[in-house]
Amino acid sequence: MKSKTRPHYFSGWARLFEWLLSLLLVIGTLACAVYFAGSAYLLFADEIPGFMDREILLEVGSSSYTTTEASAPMLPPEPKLVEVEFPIPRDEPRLLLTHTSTALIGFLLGLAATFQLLKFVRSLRLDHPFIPQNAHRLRCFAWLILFGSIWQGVAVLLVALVASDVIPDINLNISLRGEGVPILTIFTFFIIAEVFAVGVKMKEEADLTV
Amino acid sequence: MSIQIHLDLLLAKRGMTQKDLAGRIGITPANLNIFATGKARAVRFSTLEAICRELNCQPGDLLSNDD
Repeated sequence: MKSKTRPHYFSGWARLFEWLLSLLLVIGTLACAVYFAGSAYLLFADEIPGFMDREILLEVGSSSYTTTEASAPMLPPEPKLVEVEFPIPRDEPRLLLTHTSTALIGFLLGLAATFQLLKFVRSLRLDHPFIPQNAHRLRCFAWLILFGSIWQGVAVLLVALVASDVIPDINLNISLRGEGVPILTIFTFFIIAEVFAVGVKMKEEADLTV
Repeated sequence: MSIQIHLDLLLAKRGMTQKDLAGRIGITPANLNIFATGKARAVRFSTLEAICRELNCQPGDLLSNDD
C-alpha cells in the first residue's frame, strides 16, 4: 500500500538512494573478494610481490577511536605519518592473517549495515513506513554501526599487538578512546529506531480502532 | 477476551449484512469485521453511536461482559 501522505519527489530521491546503496553493495562485495583473493595469494604464494615485500606504512597519531604512539631508533621524535621499512620475516603470516581477518569482519559488518539500510529505503518507497520490519531493520542498523565502530578500534589494537610482536624494532603504544560525535551519532540511530518502534505500535493501535 | 460482540446476531435479526451496515455508517467492511470478530483494540464513540442508530439498539445490546 503506497502512502498518500508522502511528497511526490520522495519516490525519486528514494529510488536514487536505493540505486547508490545497491551500487555500494556490489562494489563493496567485489572489493572484498579482490582483497581476500590477494591476501590468500600472499599467504600461500612462495614469493611475495616485490613492492609489498618489506614495506610497512606506519600511521601515528589519533584516528576516531584509537591513539597511536610509536618509538623506534629510526623514527623522528614526533612522527605523524611515517613510511619506513621494517624487516618482516617471510615465514611470519600472523600480521597478514590478523589484518585480513579483522578486515573481513569489518567488511561484513559494513555490508550488513548497508543491506539493512537498502531494505529500509526500499520499504519506505514501496510500503507504509511504520511496519514492524522497518523498526527491526533500524535497530539492526544501529547495532551494526555500533559494533562496526567498536570493531574499528579493536582491529587497530589487534593489528598493532601482532605488529609489535612480529617487528620487535618498533615499540607501539596504542590506546582506545571514545569520541563524542561518533558516539552521539550512533545513539541517535538507536533513538530513531526506538521512536520508529513506538510509531509502529501506534499505527497498529490506530489500525485496530474502528 | 471477556467482552463479547453480538453484532452478527443483531444483523441477522434485522436481515442485514456487515457490508450493508458498513456502507450505512461510513466505515470499511474490513474495519467492521475487525469489530465484529472482537479483534478491535478500541471503538470510537462515533462508530458505536452510528451502529446503534442503524440497528436501533443500545450499546449494551452490542457488547456484553462474559466474566
